Amino acid sequence: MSATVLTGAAQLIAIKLWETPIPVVAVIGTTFIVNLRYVLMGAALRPWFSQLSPLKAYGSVFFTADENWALTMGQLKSGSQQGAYLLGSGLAIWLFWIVATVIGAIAGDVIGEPSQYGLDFVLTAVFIAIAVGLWEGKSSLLPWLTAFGIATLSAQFLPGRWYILLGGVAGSLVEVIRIDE
Amino acid sequence: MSSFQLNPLVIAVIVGMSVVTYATKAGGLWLLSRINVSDRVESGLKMLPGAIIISILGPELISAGPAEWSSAAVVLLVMWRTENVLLALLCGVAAVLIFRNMM
Repeated sequence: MSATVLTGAAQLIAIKLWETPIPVVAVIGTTFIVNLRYVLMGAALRPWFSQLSPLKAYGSVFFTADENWALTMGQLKSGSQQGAYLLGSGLAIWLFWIVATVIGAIAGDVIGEPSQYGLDFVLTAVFIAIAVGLWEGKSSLLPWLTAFGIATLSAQFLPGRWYILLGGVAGSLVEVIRIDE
Repeated sequence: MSSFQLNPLVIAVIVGMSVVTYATKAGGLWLLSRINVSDRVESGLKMLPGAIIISILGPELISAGPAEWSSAAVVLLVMWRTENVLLALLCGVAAVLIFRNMM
């Protein structure tokens, strides 16, 4: 599953839903909804990926994951033209993801709680660091505040990961509306 | 555990998950290569990454505690000063371990 699906959160949720008999529709449907955010992330890559051949572009997006997508955007925004960053970092994630899955399957109970090593904070820390890199001064403030507000609110009331979609769209809409001024 | 063993149904479900996941990953790119994008939409797209990252972070931080907030500040500071993602990451994880033991 780790090799061909390659999606952190949705895999974890699928495992939670997994039972005998397998709720096929629930597992696949949830996977789709949890991953809808990738549609947005793919859309965000387009300004750079439009220069790549379709094979390269569509091959690379398989390796999209939250973390390397964010790293790639940071690179591209800072002027680098290397769309291959997504592919390279994605391959690294893919390999580690599989290796870690195998280790986890074997060692599972021995390791215990990831939080005792602070590992649960890694993702948050990466995203904060990336956000600093994406900050473009005052022009980022309003879209970011909007995204923050909408995401935080919708995380309270909606299940799953809808809040990422809503917050992202809201923040970007602010920019679309404001651009006239 | 029997439902985790490989049988045709399990493989079919995993293939199904793979297909829908790839569809979402390629979908945004595909959609935008089919339609013409105005400058207005383009500038919205450029704002997307930051907005998505903030949307992931917002609820995460709100539901966390003082130890995580302080560590977030550490990451912010180190990143702002050094622009080194790896260093900021390491400092953040070290900070969260220290703060959690203190608080």
